[in-house]
Amino acid sequence: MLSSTSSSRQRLPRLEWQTLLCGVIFILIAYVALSETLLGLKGFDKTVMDGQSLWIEQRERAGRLGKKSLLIIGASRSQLGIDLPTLRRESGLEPVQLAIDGSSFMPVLEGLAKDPEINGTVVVDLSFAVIGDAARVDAANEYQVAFERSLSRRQYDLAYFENKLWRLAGSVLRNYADGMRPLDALRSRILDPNPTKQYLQTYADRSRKADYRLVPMPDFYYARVVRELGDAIGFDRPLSAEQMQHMLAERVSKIAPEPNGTFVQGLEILERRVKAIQGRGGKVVFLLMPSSGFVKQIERKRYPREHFWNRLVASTSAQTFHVDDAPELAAFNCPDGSHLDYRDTEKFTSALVESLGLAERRR
Amino acid sequence: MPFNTLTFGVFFALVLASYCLVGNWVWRKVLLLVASYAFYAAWNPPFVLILWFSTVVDWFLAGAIDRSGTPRKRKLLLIASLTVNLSLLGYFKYGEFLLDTFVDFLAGFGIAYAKPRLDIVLPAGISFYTFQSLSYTIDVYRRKLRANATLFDYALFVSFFPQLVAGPIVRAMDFLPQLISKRIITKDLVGWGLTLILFGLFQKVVLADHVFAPIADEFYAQAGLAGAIDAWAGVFAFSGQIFCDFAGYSTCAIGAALCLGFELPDNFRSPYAAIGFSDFWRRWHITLSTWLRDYLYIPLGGNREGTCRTYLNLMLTMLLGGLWHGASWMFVLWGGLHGALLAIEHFFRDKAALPASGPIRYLLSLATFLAITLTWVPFRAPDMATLFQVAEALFRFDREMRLDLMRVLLVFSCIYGLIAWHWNKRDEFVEEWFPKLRLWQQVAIGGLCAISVFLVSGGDHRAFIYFQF
Repeated sequence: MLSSTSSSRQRLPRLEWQTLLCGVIFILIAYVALSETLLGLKGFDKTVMDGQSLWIEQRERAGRLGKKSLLIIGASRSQLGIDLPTLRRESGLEPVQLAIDGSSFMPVLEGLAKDPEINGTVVVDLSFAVIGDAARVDAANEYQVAFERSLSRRQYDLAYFENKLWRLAGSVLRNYADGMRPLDALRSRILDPNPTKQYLQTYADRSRKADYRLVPMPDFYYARVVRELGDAIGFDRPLSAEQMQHMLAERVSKIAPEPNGTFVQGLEILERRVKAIQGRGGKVVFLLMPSSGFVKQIERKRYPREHFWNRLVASTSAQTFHVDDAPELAAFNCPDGSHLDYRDTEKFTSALVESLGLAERRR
Repeated sequence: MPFNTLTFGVFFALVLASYCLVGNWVWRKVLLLVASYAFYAAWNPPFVLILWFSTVVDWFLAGAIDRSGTPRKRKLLLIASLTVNLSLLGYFKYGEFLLDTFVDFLAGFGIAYAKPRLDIVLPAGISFYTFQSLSYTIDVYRRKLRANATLFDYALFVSFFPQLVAGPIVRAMDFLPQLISKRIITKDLVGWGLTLILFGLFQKVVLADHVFAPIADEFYAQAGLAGAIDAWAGVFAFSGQIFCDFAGYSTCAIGAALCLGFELPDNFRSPYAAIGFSDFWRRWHITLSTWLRDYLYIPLGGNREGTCRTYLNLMLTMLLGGLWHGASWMFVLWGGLHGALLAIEHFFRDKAALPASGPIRYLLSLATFLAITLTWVPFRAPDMATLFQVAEALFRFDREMRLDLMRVLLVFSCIYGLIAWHWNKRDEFVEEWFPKLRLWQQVAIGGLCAISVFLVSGGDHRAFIYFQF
């Protein structure tokens, strides 16, 4: 009996608890089962939500693997284009996916260079735009800083466990796919008669697969091209595919090369990092991943080979590999202009391992 | 760890299962104490030392007060307890605030003082457990309680995890007797405890976080640009958010404690159906208002020293009550508004009687709710500039809506539903009306709550508002 106020215990209801709680649990499970079934029938699958904590886990793993490690850094092209099981099988090394979608590889490479535990193979999915861009701050900076902070104080805190539990939930239930809440899944996938297909899936090892048969082509490809162009392109009326082709071709033809002053300065910084890793017995490979169609044309015009790639090759002690130099790799098509379809990743990876001589390292 | 996390779910399941498996009462208490410290350490492990320090000091001082024969020595020991606890609170919670106020004060005289960088981190729940601990020493001093609890039991009372970081504020005289003999776990306790946890989670994650908070946050972020509809939606949304967030937490805490066989006091009783401000404080954060009444208002003299002194005591109690909520003059302003409203009500209460029934009571209740809603504005606004922007926006009828219409309609509907619910159930506890429903209705309500909680799970986790206190 409480002195000052009342309490629930004084009014404790006596209900049919077994039936009540079983009924509630049954209703919840029935909803979850039904929604999972409907999502499955509509082609949605479980995915892992990529993010900082998952990246840090992989980065920590990289430090523990030593010479056996095969670290992939860069952006979405390598995250989607390289098949880790194939890489593991054919190179004999243990791949770790550290590429961060839409981000620079520079902060991550700097972190690897400073880390005495990193002495394996580092494959850099190259982007000319980020080399020498000292002002650029993106997710890579944030992830690297968070990783370094986690080294000084071991963070087995609430956020760590909570992230792991939610990732587990995401790996088990389709309702949490792609970082959605079940309410979002209900609204935009179950109740929507024409939901956006889940063309992209992320796995626990941070690799991703893209199924471009699920997206509306060629609209998806044109959207990518428009993004690459960087211009705000407005349409006063819907354009046919032919008209779109013509308009984009005209835009692409007007692209001028980027000045390479800051790029050349950035090469010195890059080489210092390469030397730091290679000085410890590691190996660095600069890789230019494939692109297709207008996206490729845009890149080749903005960053002409003689002013960018050749300068890099001349200035670095790292191994370099331009996909255009290997016909069997250059032939791979990127449906959206920038990324490989998952059906091609195994073959591409296999050919890449051979071309980079990674299979020989195993032998 | 907040109740609306998977980690807490796993933690509580493990604690409850282990608790039920351990037969011996002493070992059960050991388990609870370890679990409580682990629960607290989840925020910041070193702060367990502060909790422990406060616990040990008050236990020793209470024992010394109890053993002491001389009134002067008893008083000195009580003052020592007050000094230690309020110093802890003062340093960790108000240190930076006092320093900033000092800097502003000097700046008013044209003196630029470069303050030292303190970077004080606020220990979670310090406002709650210091008040709880003080209730022990004060009650021992008043001879309402003997200081015969073991240090172990006392430590468990202070650190009991369901109520440690955000209440309800439990009195030692109510909790310590529950530790003497083994708590028998019955299916009624566990069943109702789990039901309360479900209801609490529904209030917190569905209503507070999903329905009310987005509109409140969006409005307060750009109050200067808002028109009247957005402003009223925003202030009503915060009214809904703070109630559902805090009451949800309290409900979860009470439910978790019940599962373990313990009773915690009620903390909310349909506050938005209050008729007048005294009635509001008998229904809102009941354990805090009764603590302030018993340990501040009454010792100051209460209403026994004449009208003017009564008003002064009310104002002082509410100002300090406001300050307890946070180290900001905005909270003091909020407390001052409530003090003023209570004083005004006190003045008119002597002049006119409240009708026992009828539409006047309903209108007064609505007026009370409206006034309370407006007092939440300084509580929520980060500074005076935002406060004035909100005040202006409430009457800016010429500006178009910026907030999402469907969400605004949802907020207004839910606020209407909340007020109607509170009015309908103002004198009836959930333990009284829920059993009157048919079994299938009980299952349906529980099922809907469970599905709703599942639907909004995942994504961003808003911390309980009262964790900042």
